Amino acid sequence: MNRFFSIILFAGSPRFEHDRRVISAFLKKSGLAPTGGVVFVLDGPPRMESALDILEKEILSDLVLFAPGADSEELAVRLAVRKGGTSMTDVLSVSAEPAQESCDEQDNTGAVLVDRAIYNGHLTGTFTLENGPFFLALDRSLPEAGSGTTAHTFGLMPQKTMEYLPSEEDPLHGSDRQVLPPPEDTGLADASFILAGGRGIGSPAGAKRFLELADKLGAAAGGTRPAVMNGWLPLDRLIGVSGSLVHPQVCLVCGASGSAAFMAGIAQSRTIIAVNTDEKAPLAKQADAFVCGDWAAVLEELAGLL
Amino acid sequence: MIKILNCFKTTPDFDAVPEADWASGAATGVFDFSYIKQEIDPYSESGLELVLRARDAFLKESPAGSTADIHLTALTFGPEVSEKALRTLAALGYDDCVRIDGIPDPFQAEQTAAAIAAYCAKTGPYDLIVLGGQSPDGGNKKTPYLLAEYLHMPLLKQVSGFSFPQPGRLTVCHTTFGQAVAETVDLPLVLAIGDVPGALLRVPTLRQRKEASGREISVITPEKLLAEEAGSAPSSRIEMNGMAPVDNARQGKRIEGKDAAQTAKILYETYLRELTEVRR
Repeated sequence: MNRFFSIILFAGSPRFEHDRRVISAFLKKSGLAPTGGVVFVLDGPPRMESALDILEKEILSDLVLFAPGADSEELAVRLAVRKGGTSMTDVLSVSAEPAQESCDEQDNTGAVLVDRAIYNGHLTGTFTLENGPFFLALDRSLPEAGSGTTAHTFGLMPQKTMEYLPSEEDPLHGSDRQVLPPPEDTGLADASFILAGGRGIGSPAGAKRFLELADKLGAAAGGTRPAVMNGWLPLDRLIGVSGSLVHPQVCLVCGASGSAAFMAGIAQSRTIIAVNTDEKAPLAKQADAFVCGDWAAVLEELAGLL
Repeated sequence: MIKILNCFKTTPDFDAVPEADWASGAATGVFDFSYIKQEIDPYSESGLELVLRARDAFLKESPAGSTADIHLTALTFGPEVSEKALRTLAALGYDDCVRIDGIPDPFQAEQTAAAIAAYCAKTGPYDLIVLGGQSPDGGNKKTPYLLAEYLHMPLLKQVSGFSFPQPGRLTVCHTTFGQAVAETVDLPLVLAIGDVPGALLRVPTLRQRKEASGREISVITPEKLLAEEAGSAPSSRIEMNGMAPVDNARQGKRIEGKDAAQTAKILYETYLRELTEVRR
């Protein structure tokens, strides 16, 4: 795809390097030549209104790519309104609209095709975006490029670093802000063995037993949205599109039906084992191995073996 | 008086739709979800409950206060089936329950936000507008941000709780740039609700339902709203071109031991022994 584009990154983000790798892989997949890109890095104590002001003035390209994440999504959507363009979040791929591909190569401002997940992750939708400039926030599940490829890709693009400027006009300027302590590391991000509990863990008492068994098994413990939203497991243990995207060697799922949003969170697991009393649960077909039975009984026995 | 507008959406429970229906719907572009139970989307549901909690705390902390000091409006954009949720909210104490009549295109967040903005222009201004961060159908994650832009109001996202420390100010727990913060800000404000454990919408008592049974649900057409209020005309043009099912299928091998002990042993030998040996 022949486009001039901009990339937006946040210097203070703990995912800065990960974001660079994801964008690097995305550019390659989309056929976007790095020589057509410019990188904007926002640095310093972040403020959303300041970021919007800076980028509204600085961005001139027709296609703007944001790293995955909620801050990027907010920037993409609000900038599109301010610049009279079109935004989309959770973007899986972008390409030139076919009719546009055959046009004059110098004209690179036409419509684009974008893929993203819809209907709670059950389908992928393809959309035509017609009014540029286009502001696209990438999907969290996109893969990373290797460090060598990333260094080469970003080495070809000019980079501009800008500091957030506190503004008296920012309606949230001067607010009383207190940073809350970060949650303890759940170990989900790097775990080789994960136990994931669903609605079938059933109660706070069931969750307590589930966490004890995870500890005995030496597994990191996570949960589905129903298990977390019922307050049985803490929020930082949520696995799925709005929680952790995990990639263990083995993910043993207990008492979960296998909602699309949860499956997206464990899709990168090498092996998925499911234990559920409902043999018709969708997860029965989405796991490598399925046990129709009581999760607690199976885990108790496994704890004796590991 | 604090005026709060709480926007919510009801959708079918998409996880209850059979795999075959997704495949046929993706091929034809036509879905029939009429047989699937409708539910308030989870982010909206948390927002509705958080508003009730903030109201309860506000009234408890202000001995002189009365329910006249805080006015709650519940607004949804959807078909008549959404009125069941509005009746529940009326029973729970929402003062005005309003439905914008129609079936919004789930992929045109700009139109939804423009309709809400027009409603605000007609009935506002509001001190606080609360919306779910995303809904399961379109999953656009755009409506709160669009609304903040259309109304020129500040916004906080990934909100997990809020309270009124004093008139005209709100303390909000939210996540921004990777940090969880508690921030006290001046109103007005738009809040996009994120994940909030334990914030399922309370259930009204039979008495509350009976008392609210005569309450009217206001119904407005989006055309009338936009015509009256000259709502922001969205510049975006987004067209759906096609859909494809997401294939998560794996081997699905059934493991059937004669009891839990034998089943566990099969799992261990087949899938876990190698892992535990590497870890040692």
